[in-house]
Amino acid sequence: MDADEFHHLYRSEAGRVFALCLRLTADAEAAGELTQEVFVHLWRKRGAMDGVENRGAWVRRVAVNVALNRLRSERRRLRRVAPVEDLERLAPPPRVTTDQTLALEAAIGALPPGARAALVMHDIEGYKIEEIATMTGTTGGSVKSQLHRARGLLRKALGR
Amino acid sequence: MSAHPAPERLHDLVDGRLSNDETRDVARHLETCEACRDEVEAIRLLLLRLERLPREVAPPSRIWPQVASRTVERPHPRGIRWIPAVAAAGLVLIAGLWIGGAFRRPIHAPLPPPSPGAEAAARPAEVIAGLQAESARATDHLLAVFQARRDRLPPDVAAAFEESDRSVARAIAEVERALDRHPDDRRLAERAARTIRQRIALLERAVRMASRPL
Repeated sequence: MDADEFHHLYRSEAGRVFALCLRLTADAEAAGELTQEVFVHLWRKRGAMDGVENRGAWVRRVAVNVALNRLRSERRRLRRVAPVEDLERLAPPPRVTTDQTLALEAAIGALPPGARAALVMHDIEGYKIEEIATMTGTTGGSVKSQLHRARGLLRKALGR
Repeated sequence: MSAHPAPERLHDLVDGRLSNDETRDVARHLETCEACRDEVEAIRLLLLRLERLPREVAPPSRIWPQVASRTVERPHPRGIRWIPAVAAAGLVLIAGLWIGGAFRRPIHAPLPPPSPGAEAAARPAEVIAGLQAESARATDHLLAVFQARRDRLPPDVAAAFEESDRSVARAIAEVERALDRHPDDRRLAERAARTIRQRIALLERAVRMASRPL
């Protein structure tokens, strides 16, 4: 892959990568940094992409892994400095309700990190429960439990 | 009526994760249970709304140059837009007019003497630091949504919003630096608070404009 191809890959995939990172982190600054990390990683490993048929899916998989690694290390860092019960308080909902989509995005951003990751990966990105369990290093049962919790919290936040 | 299925079974039904026999059992229950039917309908409706979310959100334009500098060593993407000097001056003028209300006085104006009992209350600089931290998430989110929809606005309007936002952000940073030097100056703190609120109002207006039906 040469520089032009890489730039083309960035132009075609950066929007999806940024959206995925934004929803997983609920933090635009972090999402920008992660998007950068994803593409730097892709460039460094570009040789591995030569035979890949669906490059978009490959790129998104890398994005999920990079974002989940960040979330894991962030959670470890927060555990060292804050009691666990304070973690959910660290992601207050943005005060934005301009329209239904914004309200939904805000409600997703306000979900606890584990529930948010399960919902974004399953209900928005379309990964299977088993794939998410592998990527997050948990069990299918745990992913389902987080997913159902996330849906319940979203419905509550949206009023039904 | 048969016993209500466990709530997770209703999610599994919607997700197509039940076996044929299980699907038949739950479907039979739904025929006679309005509450469970409503529950299934609500889950489906939520999934429909999630499916309709945009799959792409345009990343900030600064990301590619940062990626390029770490990869292909190309500091700027090809085809970067040239902004004529006149247009740039116009944008700065818009920004200047907009923030004029917040910065009528130079921020290095003489400071008032500390008020009695000020030691006991939170220092103005601390209050502003808290407000800024609290508003950062909303600001980030609004910026991201605006970026996702900026194509719906005429390019000059979108650019004017962005330039105004950058100017206000710089102004906030300047007041904060002044507060670092004079953490008990309440007038500086009030100005900072007002400007932070104005930045959010500006971004909300930009998002509202960009969210209007095409």
